[in-house]
Amino acid sequence: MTVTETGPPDAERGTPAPRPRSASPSLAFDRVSMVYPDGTAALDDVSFEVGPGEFTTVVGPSGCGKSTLLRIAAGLTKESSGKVTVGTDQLGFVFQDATLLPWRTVLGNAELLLELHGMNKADRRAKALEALRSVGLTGFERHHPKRLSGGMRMRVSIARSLTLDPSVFLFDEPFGALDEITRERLNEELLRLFVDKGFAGLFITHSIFEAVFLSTRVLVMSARPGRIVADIPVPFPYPRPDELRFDPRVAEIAGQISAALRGAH
Amino acid sequence: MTDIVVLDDTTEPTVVPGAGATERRPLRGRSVGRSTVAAVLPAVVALVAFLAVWQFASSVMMSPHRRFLLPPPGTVLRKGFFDSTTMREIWSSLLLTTKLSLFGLAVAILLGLAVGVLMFRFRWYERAAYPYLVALQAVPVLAISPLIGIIFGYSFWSKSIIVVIISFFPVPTTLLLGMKSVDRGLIDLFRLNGASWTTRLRKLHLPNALPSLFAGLRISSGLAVIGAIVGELFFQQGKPGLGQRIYDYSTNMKYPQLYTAIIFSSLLGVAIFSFFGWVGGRAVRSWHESAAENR
Repeated sequence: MTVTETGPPDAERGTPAPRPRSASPSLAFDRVSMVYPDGTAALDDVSFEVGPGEFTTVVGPSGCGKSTLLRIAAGLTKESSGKVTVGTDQLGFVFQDATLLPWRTVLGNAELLLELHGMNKADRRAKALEALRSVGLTGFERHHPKRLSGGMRMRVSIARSLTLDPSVFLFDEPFGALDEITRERLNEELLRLFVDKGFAGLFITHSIFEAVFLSTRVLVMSARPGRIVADIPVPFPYPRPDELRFDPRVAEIAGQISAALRGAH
Repeated sequence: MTDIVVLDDTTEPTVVPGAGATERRPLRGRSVGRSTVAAVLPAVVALVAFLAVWQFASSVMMSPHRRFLLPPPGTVLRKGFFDSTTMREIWSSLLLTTKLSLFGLAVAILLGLAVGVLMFRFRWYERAAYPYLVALQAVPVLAISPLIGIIFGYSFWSKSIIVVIISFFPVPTTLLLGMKSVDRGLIDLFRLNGASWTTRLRKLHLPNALPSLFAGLRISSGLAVIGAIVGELFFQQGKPGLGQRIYDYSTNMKYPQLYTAIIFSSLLGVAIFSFFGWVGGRAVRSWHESAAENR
């Protein structure tokens, strides 16, 4: 897998976070607000930047506009005011559900995006196989999604996005529907991919511990209309060991986030 | 990566998928054999019971001078199924009615697919066309048959139009329903990756519509045979199809032959219906839940 142009140089792998910020952010929100046509205010004056190789997580109560924020970042929804800058044309987007085509096999699903981008069959097959290997699904290429567990479907979904070598990766609560054990394992695999590929990540979750474990930085949003009420750095180096979950310093940061969430109501 | 051990709650007994498939094959074969018997036996029992009631009704309940109206199964077999003259008439008619049904059904399917896609593409077209589709469906076809005869003549074409009118409705409606019931996330995914409308249609909406479309096609296929018989009954022109045979046998009081013709009419309907069920099942069984149950 090639390192994407906006990714960090190899020498920086495994250095303590937060990583050095380059001049141009991978993703920037500048005073973005969103009011839906029916008058619902979803986002209120949101500004933040995600630098290359940064993993930023947004936590907030249900219905606070987290998903709206991500849809705006992807260009699926148009912001009402403010400015969104995306420093790449290769976005990865992982949805809440795996959103696989049920009539396609695992391999067919993994090939879909490159197919839509017009890549020839041999090349996209090679890339899809490589992406499936990187999420541990080698041997399941011929399976249809209905024969897979929820966790495996989500792996296919992530592999599908990986085929594009995205330099910015957006995650919309991808593990919210999974059981705790599967979620932990996928967290670990996602961290490994993050260290491997060096993309900039924007991750939505309502799990505080997931946020701390994954991120270089956690943004806390208020209830609707969503405002950013806290910006909390998570200063642990990558790769992060599994035991980090039980580190008292993690609990301390989780406590700060929890307090910020309570204060926001 | 070999360091990942996949331990999710998959149905596979082993991580190596190929091994799982071969281990299960003999087991599946046996259970299918048993379940085929279980599936067919009730229908056979019902048939035997039906024939018994028929026999009883004919020989006990009907007075002898009215028994010709309901001949017992044996007489129908002798004068109908095992009578070479009758069977020659019925085979040639069956062929004609089959052609008529299939031709009308093919036209209905092609038109229906086009209308369904147009309704999906243009919301205004859906609003314009849908009420009239419902109206067309609600029209008693015998009521407009004379009109069709006046306009198109008492010909094969008029009969075909009846078939199309009767069998059309389920095609565009089930197609539209299937195309619309696509997961929103998938539509976003296609849009995010720059898929054109035609690409979305081909790779997302049409495949998604297959299960419901095939349910619609099965209904249409049964209706097409009904339409063909009705058309032939009404337009008594040209070489006789099953509809004309039914009419002729009934006016000439050839009741055993009449029953034979009726049975062949319904067998034709069942055959076309089953064919579409089989094709539909093959098309979607690898991925859709409904397919496995309908086999």
